[in-house]
Amino acid sequence: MTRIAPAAALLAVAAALVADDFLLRFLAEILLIGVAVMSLDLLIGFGGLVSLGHAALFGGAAYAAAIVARHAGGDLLLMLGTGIATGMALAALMGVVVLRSGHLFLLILTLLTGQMVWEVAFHWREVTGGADGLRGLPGLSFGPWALSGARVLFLLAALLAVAAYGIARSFVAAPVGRALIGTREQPIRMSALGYSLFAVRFRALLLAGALAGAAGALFPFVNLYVGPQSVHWTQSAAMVIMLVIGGIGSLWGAFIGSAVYLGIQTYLSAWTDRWQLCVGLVFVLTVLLLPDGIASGLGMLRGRLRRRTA
Amino acid sequence: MTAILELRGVSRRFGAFTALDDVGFDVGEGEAVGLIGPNGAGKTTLFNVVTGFLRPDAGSIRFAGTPMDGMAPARRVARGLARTFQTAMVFPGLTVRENIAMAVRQHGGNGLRWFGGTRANAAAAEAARRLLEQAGLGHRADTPLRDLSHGERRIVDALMPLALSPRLLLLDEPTAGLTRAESDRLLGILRRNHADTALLLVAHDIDIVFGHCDRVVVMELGRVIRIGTPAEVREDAEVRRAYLGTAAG
Repeated sequence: MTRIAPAAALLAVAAALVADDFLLRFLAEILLIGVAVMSLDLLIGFGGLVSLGHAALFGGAAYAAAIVARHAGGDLLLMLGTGIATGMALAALMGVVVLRSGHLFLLILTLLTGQMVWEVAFHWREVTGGADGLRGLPGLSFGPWALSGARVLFLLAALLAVAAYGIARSFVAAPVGRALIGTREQPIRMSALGYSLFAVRFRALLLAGALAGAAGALFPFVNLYVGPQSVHWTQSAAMVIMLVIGGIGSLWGAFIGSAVYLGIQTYLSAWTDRWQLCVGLVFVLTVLLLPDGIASGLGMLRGRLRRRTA
Repeated sequence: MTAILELRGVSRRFGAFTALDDVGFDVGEGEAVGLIGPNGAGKTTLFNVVTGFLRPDAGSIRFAGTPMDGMAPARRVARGLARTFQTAMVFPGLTVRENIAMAVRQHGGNGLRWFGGTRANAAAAEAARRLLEQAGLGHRADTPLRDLSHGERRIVDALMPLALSPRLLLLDEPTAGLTRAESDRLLGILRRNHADTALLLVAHDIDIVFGHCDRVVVMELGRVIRIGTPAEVREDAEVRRAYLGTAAG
């Protein structure tokens, strides 16, 4: 990973120099949704907690940032603070409801709590715009400087992705992250060692909410719109699909998964409205050929190349 | 001898089936008590009730003088009550050292630490290494647990709760699947290196129980039918009928 980070930074700078506005916004979208999917990886890959309500954390933060921006302007720190606070608050509420159950019940409860956010977004028309969503937001700013333009937004998204990845990595390497893996592998043993399963999982959920919230806060400024679809459970399911394609438990695979999914959605949907068929095909092929996702496949490829050159 | 664990009238039913019926006995500080009985006697249910994984329907459990009523398993552990399970519950993907460190960190109050985690991990790894050295497994510290033999896994499984420095350790068939020599080695490690820790030991091999325990509690159909020294229990007619059979003795 020490070589990947500078390479990714170099790639980001190169993209910022040569890509057009449409591509830069698309790449920024991949990075922001990638951060949200990576935060989901903390729950699924490291905690074994499969959620179908994760889009509510990301989309809820996007709504909150958009609403605050309309009233108080688009200051970057204010937006990030709003998004992180919203993501964590929604994660805390979700955690209190869902973390005392497991497996299928957890799945259904996350779906239901996520859909409650969708209900609010869809029906509270005066604040959220209802089915129409929110458009016409002020531009992002940082103090006196306007952070407008696709290039700046892309670089912001890239910075956020790098920071979020570093934070997630440090979390899983720390004792609390090891404990999270322990609760996935041997929950009863962890209880018998004195760990509170709720406390461990709640911390992971809060961090996932903070990361998804930070990404969600920038999303309306990249996408120029936030609508109820962003908090719908189908968006949560799409995040799970992105994670499976990219590679569960790798963290960085989340960005690959979101790139593959959004690439198919963006480019193939111009040709056919059956682009989801292609997503399904990629999903099935990934599960059959690379059960641990594309990230793991790339890891194996790198290992082979190293052995060959050694 | 001061009692570390006091059970009085503990009962637990599953529908019409009575798994524990008015169970009562003490375990003293640093004492090793064997718990024997045929399958279905209620030994594992008693472990689950004592450690808080099951609630009793009646009776009282006091640990170090404190009532345990309604206390969550994690809080009981914090007070010094630890256990193992019938099957080894280890983390096969982690190294032997990491398995033990998982317990060490929690015991040191660092189990949920994020910031300063590198230092906590290093300290836990060192403490785990010392514990493994004591148990003669120092050379296996960096081996993934999945590569250990069954006997070595069992030792690691017992070392994990020991890393919590418990005042009482409940061992649920820790010698299952082990040879006599491996069983003696495991219990020798526990008794020799952790003499202050009281043990409540369930084992089907009664020679192991008689050889390593100060007292023996015999259960049958959820009831305690005899408490005594190994010699007394071995000679008891009711115990011989219920459990030991004619082959014993």
